[in-house]
Amino acid sequence: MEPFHVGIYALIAVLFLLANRVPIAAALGVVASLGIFVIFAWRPGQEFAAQYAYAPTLSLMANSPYAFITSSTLSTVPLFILMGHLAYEAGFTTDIYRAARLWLAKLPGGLAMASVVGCGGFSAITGSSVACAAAMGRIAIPEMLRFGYAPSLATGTVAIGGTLGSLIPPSVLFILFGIFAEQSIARLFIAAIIPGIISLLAYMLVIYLWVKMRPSVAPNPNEDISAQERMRSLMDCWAILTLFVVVIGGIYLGLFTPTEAAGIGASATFILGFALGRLSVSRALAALKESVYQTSMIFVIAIGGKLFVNFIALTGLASEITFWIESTDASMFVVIGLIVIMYIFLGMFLDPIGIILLSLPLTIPIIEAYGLSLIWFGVVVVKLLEIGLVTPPIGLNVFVIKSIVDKTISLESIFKGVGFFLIAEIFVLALIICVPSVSLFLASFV
Amino acid sequence: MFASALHFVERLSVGIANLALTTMMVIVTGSVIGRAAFNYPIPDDLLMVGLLMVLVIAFPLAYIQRINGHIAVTIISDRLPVRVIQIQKIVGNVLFGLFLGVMGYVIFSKVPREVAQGLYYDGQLEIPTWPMKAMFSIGIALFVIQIIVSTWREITALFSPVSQYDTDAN
Repeated sequence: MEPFHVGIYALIAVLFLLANRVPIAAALGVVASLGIFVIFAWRPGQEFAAQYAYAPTLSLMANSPYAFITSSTLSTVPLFILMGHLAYEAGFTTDIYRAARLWLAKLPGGLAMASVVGCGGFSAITGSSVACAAAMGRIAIPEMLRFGYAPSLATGTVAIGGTLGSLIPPSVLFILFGIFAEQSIARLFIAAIIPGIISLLAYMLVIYLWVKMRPSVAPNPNEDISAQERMRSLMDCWAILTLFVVVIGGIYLGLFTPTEAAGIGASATFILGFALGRLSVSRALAALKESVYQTSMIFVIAIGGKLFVNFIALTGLASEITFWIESTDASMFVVIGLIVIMYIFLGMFLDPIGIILLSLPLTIPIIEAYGLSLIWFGVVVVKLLEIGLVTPPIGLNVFVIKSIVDKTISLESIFKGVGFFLIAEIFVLALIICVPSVSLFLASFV
Repeated sequence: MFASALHFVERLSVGIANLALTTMMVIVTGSVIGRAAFNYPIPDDLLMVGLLMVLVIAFPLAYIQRINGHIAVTIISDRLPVRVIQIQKIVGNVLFGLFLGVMGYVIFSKVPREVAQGLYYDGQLEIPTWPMKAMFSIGIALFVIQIIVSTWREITALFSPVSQYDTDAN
């Protein structure tokens, strides 16, 4: 049997297993292991010979994922996750939200705008969208509901704002993309800053227009906030600003690598939290526990994914698809359009890490064949994965928000709230795709 | 007795993972400060940090399985009859246990040879290659035990009377 055909059957088998509730890690890992076995046992033009396949299959299963998880570059992921959890437990997240809330209070939908800005600020010290939505959701949603905001606006705002966690550096998804696409993580981080800010502004614009059209969704709080209070709230954000400057500044000033920046960031958050008396031993332990859970969940998928990447390489599937696309003389925009549709479709059903590991072996050779920048493509992919986090039927951020709000707020109401923002997402995505300099301008300085 | 002992070991392993993550943080920070202040980073810092990842990843797996934390796509199967979902869970558990179990076994099978040959990583500290492979296998073994326990629970529920079964499943 041709390896190419084994690859096609394997992709179908993965989708079948995923649809049947098999954990993502197991679906990728089992199919990849069996696929590798079949390729070694059933060489083109020869009889099926299982005896030739055991040793290479088991060797690949033993060596490739183990070498992958012990790579020092990947240690960035748990350390950035830890930094975010420590900052949340220390209450630094609340500081940003409070400042944004006081400064934006007078604008239409000011509390909702403050939630988006709070998400943007928290994104600067955490690498996970889900963590960002969960942390800001616990702080901002009760506040908005208390002031009579419509549940769809209150929940939709935080669900969409949480997606900034993956786009604004540091970002777990960019680290994984950088490793699999063999691209500089520092360049990916800086490339995402302008798209991240544009996304944040687009969400604020949506809130503004929504409240202007239907003022009842966001009653004006009518609070008297003095200039002094505002300035004090801004000063209270010094800790989170310091952490961002230490991490991102340290990387780009060449003081330490992105791998080391994660460790420095986590330590700095830990020390600041205790020095300011805002972090207790029990809170630090809670942050550690959450971090190891998330890391283990992410990396067990990555183990299956790594094996799947090895398998796809053996099948030659990626080069066959690239060759086929080139032979059709399809324009670059058609190919990009198809890739975008594929990611949006996968985003409806799979989690972002599963999608990255499943799709990159196929899409990267295509992008390279067209001579496009992989840094730009990384930003496009992460933006698409963000959209997948809030699109039905499976929008992880929406589920996270649902799990922390009152039971009377339905899933439909949250999806409805997110719907308005998706229109803005399409415009931002189109801008990032059509104007690559939005991503590449800052990256060109690194 | 067995259940509580297993639960204790799982919680202990999560504690070890917490300690490993803290150690990673300390090693990286210590190394950067050492390099900046004394021009002397911690030897083999990144190698040690990478190896500690094994504990952070493999040791909490069993506890995550206990709380049904491993990520799966449920949107399609949620609409199916409860018994079908139960069968899907059993199949998913078996595949997951087989995949990681085989991987853990193959990695563990290398340990005796690496001990005998005294293999170590290139670096100043000449860290042996086998201890973290053994640790990885221990984490996986714990996960496989938890998979067997949870699969047995699912099978028992599957063959129990419908009313009780439905209550359990929900």
